[in-house]
Amino acid sequence: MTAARVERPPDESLDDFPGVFDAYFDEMFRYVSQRLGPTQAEDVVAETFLTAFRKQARYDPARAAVRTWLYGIATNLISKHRRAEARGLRARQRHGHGGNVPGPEERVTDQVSAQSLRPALASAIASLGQGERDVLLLMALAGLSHQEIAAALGISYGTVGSRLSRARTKLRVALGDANPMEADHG
Amino acid sequence: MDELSKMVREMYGDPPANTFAKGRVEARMQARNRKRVPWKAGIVGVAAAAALSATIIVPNLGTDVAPAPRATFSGNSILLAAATRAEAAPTGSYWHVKRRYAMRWDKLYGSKGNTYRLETSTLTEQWVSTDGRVWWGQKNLGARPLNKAAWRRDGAPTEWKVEDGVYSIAPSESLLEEVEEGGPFRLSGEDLTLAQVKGLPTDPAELTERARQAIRAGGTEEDSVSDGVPTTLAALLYELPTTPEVRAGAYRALATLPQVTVEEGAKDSLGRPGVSVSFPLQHDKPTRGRLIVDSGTSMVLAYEVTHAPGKGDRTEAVLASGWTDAEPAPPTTE
Repeated sequence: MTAARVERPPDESLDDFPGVFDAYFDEMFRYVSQRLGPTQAEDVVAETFLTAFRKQARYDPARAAVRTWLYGIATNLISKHRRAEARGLRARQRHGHGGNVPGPEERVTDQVSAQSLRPALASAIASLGQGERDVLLLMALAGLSHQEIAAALGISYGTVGSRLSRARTKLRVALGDANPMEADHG
Repeated sequence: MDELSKMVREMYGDPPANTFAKGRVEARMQARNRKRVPWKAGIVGVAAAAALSATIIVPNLGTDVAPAPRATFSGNSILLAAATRAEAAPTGSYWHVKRRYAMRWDKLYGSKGNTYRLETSTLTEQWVSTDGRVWWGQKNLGARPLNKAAWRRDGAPTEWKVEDGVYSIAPSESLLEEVEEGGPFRLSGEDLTLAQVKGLPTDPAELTERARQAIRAGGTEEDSVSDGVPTTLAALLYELPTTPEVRAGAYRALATLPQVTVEEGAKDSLGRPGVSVSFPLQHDKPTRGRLIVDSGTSMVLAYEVTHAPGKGDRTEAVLASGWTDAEPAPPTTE
């Protein structure tokens, strides 16, 4: 159905746009699905790649890898869907029964037993500021470094650090950490 | 990766594999930008962009949960009898689970004086072959106004705008896809291979201990491990491709748990009669989980969560669960 998936990242340019799509679709879809749910993700991921295509003249390979740039575009688009994200996080707060067969949309983390802390965590992530949440999730879900996050979001390295530190403190408090103010060396 | 990031990552989990998503995204991009994107020809086949969103939670449709008396001798004998029948369940080429999830939304639709709520529902099916291939099927059953009279007065609309799309009264097409790479099969906090699922202990005490181990693997604190045992055993009753012997063991293990209450004369949300097997989900909270079990076949008919403070009750109806020789096929309402 689709052309063979490109196994290595394409050259760091957008000349081979279908190649870029093939190489990064799975990863971008995963990230956006995690934050917005699979239905909304289709729309946002389509918009992410279209935006990348339309704005390719502005892409500067010296500043960020294509992958980083795409995460930045996707994250900016996600911020326009706060209600969908909030709804997803509310669903994660409700979760109960441990189902192996995932139900659509909410099928992801449906494990009661485990995860006594998950509702608190979901609630804390929902209450973060958008900028804090973006930085936290680009690190935890996308695995970007501080520097990559700075390039993706167009903010300074220092801002990444301070947002991350605030986000982590809030999460620790929500999880009942006895000493949430302890310095974060993570 | 540090512990907190790991917890965040685990909470978000892995999104479901969806082999159709890529084609649909390509179709959307082409539709929006037909002339400008240098696209490959002939990519898109499946453009069922109809929202497959779905939702799992249903308020309890008229089942009543009595406050729980303690487990009784007769309750235990009901579970032990269920175990014996479970042992005799047929085997086949595919493990098959079919469920109906639905949700009654709080939001009111319609115009002044003619407002009503909507129920949306979805069928999902899973097949697992004996060699570990997995198929996933889904059909959105469409939205349904819960107050027909108000809906008619409102002009009987067949579509409703919601935040991220449209609810339609029309069911979607049925989809079936093979899940790439098959499993793994989730038992509480642990991912198992098909061979591990089939190799689970059949002795009730060993099975309970194995369940506790799986719960601990998810990072549950020790004083909450017991809370997770009933739902973990329930997963062995109707979700996971276990052997009849393991299912029988799970019923026997449930019969030994002090927090489990068994009552006859229950009905599920579809009105099917059965035995209620209920338990607290957290020892210090009122929320209870409840299985409805067909006492004739030992099949789980439904799983419900009730008494969640400030939330609606929810149910999932199990329409089929067991080994079969029927081939995977897209879901139908039959």
